[in-house]
Amino acid sequence: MKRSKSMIITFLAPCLILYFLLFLYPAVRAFYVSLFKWNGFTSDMKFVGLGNFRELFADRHFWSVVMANSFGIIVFGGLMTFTIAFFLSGMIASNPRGKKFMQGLIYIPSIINPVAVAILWSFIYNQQYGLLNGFLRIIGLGHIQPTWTAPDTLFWAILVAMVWMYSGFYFVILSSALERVPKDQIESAHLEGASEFRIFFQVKIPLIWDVLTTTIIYWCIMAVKEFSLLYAWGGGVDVPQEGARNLATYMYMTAFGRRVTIYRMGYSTAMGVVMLLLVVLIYLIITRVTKKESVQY
Amino acid sequence: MMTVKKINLWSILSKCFLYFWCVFSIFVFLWVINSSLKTNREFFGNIWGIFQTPQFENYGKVWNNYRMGTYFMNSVIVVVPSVLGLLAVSAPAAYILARVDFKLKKTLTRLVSFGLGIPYQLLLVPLFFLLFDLKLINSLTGLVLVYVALSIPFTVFLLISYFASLPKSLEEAAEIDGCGPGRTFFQIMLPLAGNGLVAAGVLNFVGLWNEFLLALTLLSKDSKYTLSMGLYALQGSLQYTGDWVALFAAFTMVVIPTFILFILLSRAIVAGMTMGAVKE
Amino acid sequence: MKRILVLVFAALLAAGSVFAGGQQEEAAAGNSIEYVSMWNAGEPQAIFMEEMAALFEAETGIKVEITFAGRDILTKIRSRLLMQDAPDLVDQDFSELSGALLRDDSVLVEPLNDFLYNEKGPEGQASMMDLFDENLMKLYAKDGNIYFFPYEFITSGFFYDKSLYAEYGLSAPTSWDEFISNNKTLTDAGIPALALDGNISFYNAYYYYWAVARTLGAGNLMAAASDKSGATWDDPGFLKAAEMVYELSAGGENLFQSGYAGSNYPAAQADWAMGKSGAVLCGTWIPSETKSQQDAGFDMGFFPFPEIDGGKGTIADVEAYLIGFAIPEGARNSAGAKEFMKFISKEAYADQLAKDTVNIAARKNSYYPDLLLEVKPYLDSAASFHVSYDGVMQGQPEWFANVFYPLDNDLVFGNITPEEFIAKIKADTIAYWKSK
Repeated sequence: MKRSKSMIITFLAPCLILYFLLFLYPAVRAFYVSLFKWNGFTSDMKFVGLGNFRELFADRHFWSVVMANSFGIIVFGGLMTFTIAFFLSGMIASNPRGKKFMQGLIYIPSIINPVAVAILWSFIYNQQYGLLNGFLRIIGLGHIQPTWTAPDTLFWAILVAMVWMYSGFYFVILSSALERVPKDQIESAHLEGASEFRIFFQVKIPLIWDVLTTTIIYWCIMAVKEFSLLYAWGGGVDVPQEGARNLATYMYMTAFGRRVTIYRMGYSTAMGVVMLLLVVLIYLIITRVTKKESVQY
Repeated sequence: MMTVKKINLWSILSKCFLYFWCVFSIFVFLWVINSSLKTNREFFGNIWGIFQTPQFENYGKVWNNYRMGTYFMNSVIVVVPSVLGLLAVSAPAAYILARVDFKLKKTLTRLVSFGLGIPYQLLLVPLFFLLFDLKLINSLTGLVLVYVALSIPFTVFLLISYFASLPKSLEEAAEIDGCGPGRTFFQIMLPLAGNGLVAAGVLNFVGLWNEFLLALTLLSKDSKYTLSMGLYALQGSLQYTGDWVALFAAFTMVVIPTFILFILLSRAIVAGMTMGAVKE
Repeated sequence: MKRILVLVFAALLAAGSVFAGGQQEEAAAGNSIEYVSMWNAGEPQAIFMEEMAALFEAETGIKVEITFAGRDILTKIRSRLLMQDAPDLVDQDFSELSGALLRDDSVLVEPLNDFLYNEKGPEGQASMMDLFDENLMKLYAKDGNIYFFPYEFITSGFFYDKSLYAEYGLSAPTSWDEFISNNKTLTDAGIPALALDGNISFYNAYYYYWAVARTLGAGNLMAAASDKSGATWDDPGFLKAAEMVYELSAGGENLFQSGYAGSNYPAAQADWAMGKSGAVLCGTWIPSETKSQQDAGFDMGFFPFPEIDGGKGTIADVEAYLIGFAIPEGARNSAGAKEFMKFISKEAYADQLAKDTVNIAARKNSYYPDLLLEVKPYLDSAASFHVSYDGVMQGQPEWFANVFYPLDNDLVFGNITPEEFIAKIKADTIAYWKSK
């Protein structure tokens, strides 16, 4: 069948024009902007070469707080999210009563507006009027009233909220993958006397390996980009606290400010470039590492 | 004997966890809804207490005085055209990239696939200034265009996988019947990819409905705020006035439509999500 | 083929054309000014401004279109400044205004010298400047030009629960030692002496900034922040100030309410207003902010951050944190904006602002709301003024947010000792400047 050139062009053009103009062009331009010192209020841009990157690599705060938090989200958040998602899908697979209802309930937090999630969890953690400390009072532990959102624990407090929010999403993907695992393979493993743990790691995981690696890559990219929950935490009364500063929020506050007048467009965009490199690196590492494994079965 | 015991312990443990997880979610939602119907004094007096008389005016106040109604409408005005526009531009493109051979096909597919990996934070600053030049800052039109453009890679790839799964014989049959290529697409291929369109539509709808960063960056007037922005601004301002129950009401207002949407469309959402993960 | 083309493009353009109409709303012609405000709709100042706008329009025929953008206003208007679509009037506290709009590389607001010195006052005064304390107005001047026009005056200090203090036989302290012993009396009785919402870093920062202002005097924190060698931190006054803060913290006498490190604004200040704690170190907006939580008859007192023996700073050195207007460069109706500024500076309106919003008006000799009466003597006897946070917040914003806040929070929460604080802040300051 002949498909004329004009059809190809008309079908592709609107999509590609938008994509090139509003996605690829600014992405390429970002590399250019990252080479400048620029406050964004005037058109006066001063070329500094790789100066922004040099500064970034020497910036203590950037590494010890911002990047540490970003990696913390990827690694610890990932471990928690995937463990919980597997745990829950294992349970759901055993067809408990109210399965459908519970599935929905588990999934729903991941489609709630993240700003709302931030509000909800700050009520949960609130020192005096929060649910958590209120609960402790009820069970007779009123004398311990932990400050969940103190600087040394804030990051972890937010991370738990994040895990609560995202677990449902990974739960849906993983449990639908697990459901497709052939029953007879599990049966035969059972007959051979394999424990539930062994079945999980040696039978189920290899069979869903492709889905799992895609999902892990997705998690990592999403975790690097995570913005809304951290930024909305506390409601914008002050600059984001240390525990809420990751690559994405720090970038935003450096460029656009929030009760802080830094306004460094080039420096912020340099962080964007670092973010892209990080995503590429994660992708390469995970695809390399997992390739070997997938040959096994 | 040993293994049986182990399995029991394991399953009891995980069962407890499952119930805990679910009960927790139900409980916090009910708690918020309950709190949203209290007065501030009632709330601060006892966080566990059930509301005395339901304070529905909290909702009225949030909707009118705190402009949640405007934000809600703005969200509708932005998200619905974004999703429709997105499908309108992505479906034909995905169809071509999935089923037609031409010279630049590989290059173009690869270029679009870049978009899957580029975090859009990278383009935030250039995009912001580009939209200036186009006079589209603080404009819902601008936000719609950006939403469409940034959602293209994901949507196109999702749809490519749908189109690619359709049998080749369909087009051949259509050709024999004398269908032109345009009619083949609109009358035969598009309806067959219906599930894919619904899945892509719903997933993008949920994503854009909750989108925060771009709205925060590109909208500067509160008359243009979307729900995410409005809720964020409201959280900030209600802290100054100490009106917590209003914030609970706003929370409920933002979350309820999502619940309803989920109940109506859960099947499509789940189908789309697993499709995306499995087919990529 | 044409049909497909039309279809696809129609779909693409549908989104655009539907809203194109919505965009034109802004170009309302006629004599009007556009005012983008830092207040949130519903706040007392927002209500006041709306009322002023209505009165102003009735008197002059100039319509004031107000957008309440909230505290993030400067982030919000930057795009418009760039697009040369500046509003005619913006407001925010002067620290943020100068941090954003009066930068070394660019001045984005109109100078107001001509207006201040050559325009007659609203009640026939020789000049607008006569309405204000000139020293105050010059605090934020740059290269001899004054760019901002204040309507609200804010200073900070301790607001205390007078009846609670009276109950324990305490009165406003006049020295650091008395301050500590007062506080101990309260904590010994099981009442938190000080309330602090630890999640607001700029509230935590009040303590150290004030302590340095008392040990070394104003200007020194700024000097230390800007010193690339870090040597300034060796001055024992900085250590002394850190010791003062640490003494209050959980690492020292533990005088704050329990869990203050994780307290979420406005929980602690609300509790204070409900009589659950002794004092709060805050700006003069606090009576207004806590109004809805105060019990009837809540009696509020004020004392400045106490002096310390051997310190160079005195209570006659008063913080001036001003809130007011600026006219962005390129405003279309700057004449109208000036007229509005003059209008709301009328004696009656300055008084009304103070009354309605429970704040201090920037205009001299204005009305003082009851809750702020105790602040008045200190202002009247002020020998000098300094900028809030010693100017570091706008002068070295990145240092303040990334170097100072984290360490200061640790100090205030008692996680690090004063010696550690000094060592770390010195090292981090050196590292910070080295990376620039």
